[in-house]
Amino acid sequence: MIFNAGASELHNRFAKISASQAGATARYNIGFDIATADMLGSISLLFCGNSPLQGEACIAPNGFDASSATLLAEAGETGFSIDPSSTTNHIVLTRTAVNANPGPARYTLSDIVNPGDIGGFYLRIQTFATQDATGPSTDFGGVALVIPNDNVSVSTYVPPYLLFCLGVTIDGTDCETVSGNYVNFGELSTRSSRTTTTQMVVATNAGDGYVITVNGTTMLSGTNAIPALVSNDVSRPGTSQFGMNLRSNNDPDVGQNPVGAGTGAVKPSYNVPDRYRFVSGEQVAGATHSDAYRKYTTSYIVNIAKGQAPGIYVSTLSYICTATF
Amino acid sequence: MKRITKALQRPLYAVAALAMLIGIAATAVVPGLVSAGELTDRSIKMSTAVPGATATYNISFTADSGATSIRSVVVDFCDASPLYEDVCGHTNGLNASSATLSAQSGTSGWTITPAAQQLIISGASQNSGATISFTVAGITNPSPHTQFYARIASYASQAPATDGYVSATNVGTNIDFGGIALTTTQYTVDITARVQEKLQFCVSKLNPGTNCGASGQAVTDPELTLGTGSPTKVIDEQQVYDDNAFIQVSTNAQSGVVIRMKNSNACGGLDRGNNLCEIPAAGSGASTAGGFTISGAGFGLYCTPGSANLTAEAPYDGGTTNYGMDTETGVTPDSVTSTYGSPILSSAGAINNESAELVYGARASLTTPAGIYTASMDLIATGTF
Repeated sequence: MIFNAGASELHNRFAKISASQAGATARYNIGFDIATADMLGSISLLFCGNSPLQGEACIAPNGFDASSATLLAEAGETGFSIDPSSTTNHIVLTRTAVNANPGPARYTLSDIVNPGDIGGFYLRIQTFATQDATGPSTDFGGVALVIPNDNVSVSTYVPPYLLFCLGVTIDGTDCETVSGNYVNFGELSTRSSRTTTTQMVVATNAGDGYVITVNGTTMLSGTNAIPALVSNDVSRPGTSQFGMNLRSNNDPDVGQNPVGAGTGAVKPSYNVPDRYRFVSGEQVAGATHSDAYRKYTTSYIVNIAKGQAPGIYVSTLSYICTATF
Repeated sequence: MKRITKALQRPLYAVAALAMLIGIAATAVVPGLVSAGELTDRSIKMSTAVPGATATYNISFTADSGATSIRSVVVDFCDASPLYEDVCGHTNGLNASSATLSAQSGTSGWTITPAAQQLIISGASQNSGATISFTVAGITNPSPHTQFYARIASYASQAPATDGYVSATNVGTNIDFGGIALTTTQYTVDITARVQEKLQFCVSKLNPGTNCGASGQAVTDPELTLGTGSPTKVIDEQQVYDDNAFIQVSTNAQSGVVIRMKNSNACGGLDRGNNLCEIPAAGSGASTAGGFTISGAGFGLYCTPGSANLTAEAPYDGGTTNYGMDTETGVTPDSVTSTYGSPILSSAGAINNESAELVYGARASLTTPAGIYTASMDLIATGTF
């Protein structure tokens, strides 16, 4: 290859690569502005590890391999193919020589293996009137490329979490505002239902969601009990009943529906307004996937018959929230 | 000494007599010349000595003859001799026919009458004792390379012919005369020096010293962990957690450098190996200038250049609160999942040891599944020379 001292410099020349890791297989987008309106039959792309300077000996970059390169795209001066004389560090684009128009030219080559060493390497670009990159060059230019020392690796950990709080009242879905753990029905009556509510908030990133169960006894006073509603029933003043649901009710007027950004739902047995039930251990609410904040309001009703034994009736209920990750 | 003098007396007289005879004879042989003074400090400075080039000649001299006024000067170019006694041959290639008088010193208002191998410059009376110079442009140097001569004669009349000037060998009655040798040069000195293309680029956890840590702080492994806590850092929905790295770049690419970034995750966010991108790109991957506040689960970057020589590209230009991670396909600029990556920093021209801080931030939401989330960011520098 002859360096033509009269050749013009290729301006705006660059080599953009699709991956910068050492030894990676990458796509090279090579561009330059053709300076001379002259016959163009071939373009020499010579990759060197030591210098971009024309006329100096070229040492191939260690590990660099363009022997499997494919010409994917071309723009500006087109009609090229990769000449069979191309080697591991020298790509010759060839075509039948025609007059070139000064202006931008772009060539995209795939399946080029980057050098195996980090640091700089170079591309020498020359244009020729001949079809095989022999004889004096028309235009030339060098490009510097670089394999940087490393990529930036980013990692982080999201732990499993389950947020669950319970109280008499909760402002919005903020568990910091939980208030009270004791509700008092007051003096029970045969003529009207006694009601009260509690609230609970849950959120989780468990992939398979959560369930909430209620556990405990009906209202007891020693050996005397107010029967729990083991099957859904309306509130019947004058009939001894203890039950609950997680809905807004009209009869009696108590409770509210679930609220919040989450999509968790009340289980069917406790999801019917004005129908009440209590079976210890049953699921009252849940979600099938991770869920944002969801607030449930539990409505409790107590009715007594005329023959209900006098006494102080109490119950302790515990709610258990279980998430499945 | 006395003996030698006496011995030479007769021969000295003989020599003197002979000299007088020669002097008289020489005067008689050369026609049309009245004894003239010599132009001193005479020179012709050429603006270029390249054969065939168009040059400017600065003709300068000091007239010798006391109070005699000068009103014209003739410059004859000859090929072989500066002496008016000798033939004045044609100097090949020399052409002064288009010469112009661009400046004059010691005279005022003089004009030029050029010919192919002659210049006649004339004007109002000027005392001949002054130093006079004429700057004459548009003279074509001789070609090929040669030595050549100028014969300069000054006259009392504005038209030298009035004082008997006929030609370069029949100069008539001039006031002063002088000859100058000139030459073109066969070769010019060509000096060539090459500055080779340069691109240096590195990525580091700590801000590296000059030349990518060749001095000062060495380059360190850019491995970032986002979050808070110990021994395991975790992120949650409470805030954005960030960590930083640095790049440093030097290049003599006159059209500058662009640094692009590619995300190893096809979705552009952080992934726990299931390609579901449960921590997505900030701002839904838009490329809007100024970046985005990460309010739910999100992952992004903002760049802080070390000087005005580097520019942070949209959407990585959000300052210290807004992040970006361009995943838009089919639009400019390219995304972090495109073939060549998304431009994050650029320069307009050559730069030296310019650094920038890269701040990566991430935030989980309440529903972000538990797990270890990762991404590898490939940084690629491209110079346009």
